Amino acid sequence: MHDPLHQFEIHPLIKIHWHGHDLSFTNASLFMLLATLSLCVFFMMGTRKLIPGYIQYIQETSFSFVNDLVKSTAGIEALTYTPYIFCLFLFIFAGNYLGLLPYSFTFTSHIIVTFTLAIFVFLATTLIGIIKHGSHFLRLFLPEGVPFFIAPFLMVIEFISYLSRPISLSIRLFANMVAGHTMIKIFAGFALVMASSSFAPSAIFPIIVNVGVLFFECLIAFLQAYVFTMLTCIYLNDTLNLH
Amino acid sequence: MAYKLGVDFVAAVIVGLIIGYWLDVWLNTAPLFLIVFILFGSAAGFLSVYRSTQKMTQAQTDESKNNEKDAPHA
Repeated sequence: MHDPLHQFEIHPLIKIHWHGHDLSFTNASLFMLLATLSLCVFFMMGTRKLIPGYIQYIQETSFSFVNDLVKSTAGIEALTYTPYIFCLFLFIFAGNYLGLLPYSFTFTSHIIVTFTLAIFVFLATTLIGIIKHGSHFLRLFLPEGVPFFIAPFLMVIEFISYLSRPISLSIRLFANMVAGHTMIKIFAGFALVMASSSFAPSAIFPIIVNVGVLFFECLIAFLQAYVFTMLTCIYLNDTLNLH
Repeated sequence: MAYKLGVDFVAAVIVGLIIGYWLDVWLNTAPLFLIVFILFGSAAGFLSVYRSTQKMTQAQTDESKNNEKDAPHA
């Protein structure tokens, strides 16, 4: 009952088996769908009005926030990719905040989800770099002026460092989400145990701590979406503007 | 940005480990490449941590320079 990791379990809601593959509609799929739908509804509510309301103001502010982030970190050329980066930001943001609601499921707490998002960013930035710079793109792995005998070692190290980007990007988001949600559940478990002990009012202390942790989680939920977006911009900058 | 460093280092070691393990399985040379690539992975981790800290200190010095510029001279 107090298992703090129980909240991360995936259960199939609608079982679908197709040619031996398990394609069931799970609670993770449900919350991804909810995140997408809630964003769609929110963004349709405020637009197409003669006098902009406060919802439209929030939409425009969030768009210009991401737009300015892309422009300041990756340069004016990278603005072509703003729609994708904005979608990525909103999807992670919605997922993180939906996960904070009681009885909900946080799909960003599964490494396969964050890794899929990260690997698309990685493949996209690599392809953009190769298309834009051609063979000159390999300069990324071998800076100029390196002595001949260290060059092969440095190339391997630079290559590993380049490959580690999607992994660090996905682990960061997933680990933050898992750690935060587990912490909330553990403190809630403390409160439950203390309430059933001989001195029941002592349960107020873990509850107070939990309120603080929950506020902190609200901050982390935004911060991790922001960090994911910003690192995407930094990686885009590295491949767009080779030094 | 400090929270970026730890994960960066671990991720590079993990990538080195995966490449080394995969090469060992392919060439049947366990544990030679595993050891070599974990070392390379650590080096890559140090490199990325070094670069991020350099960027951070660069940003800090730029900020303090700007603050000096803005401050009125006594």
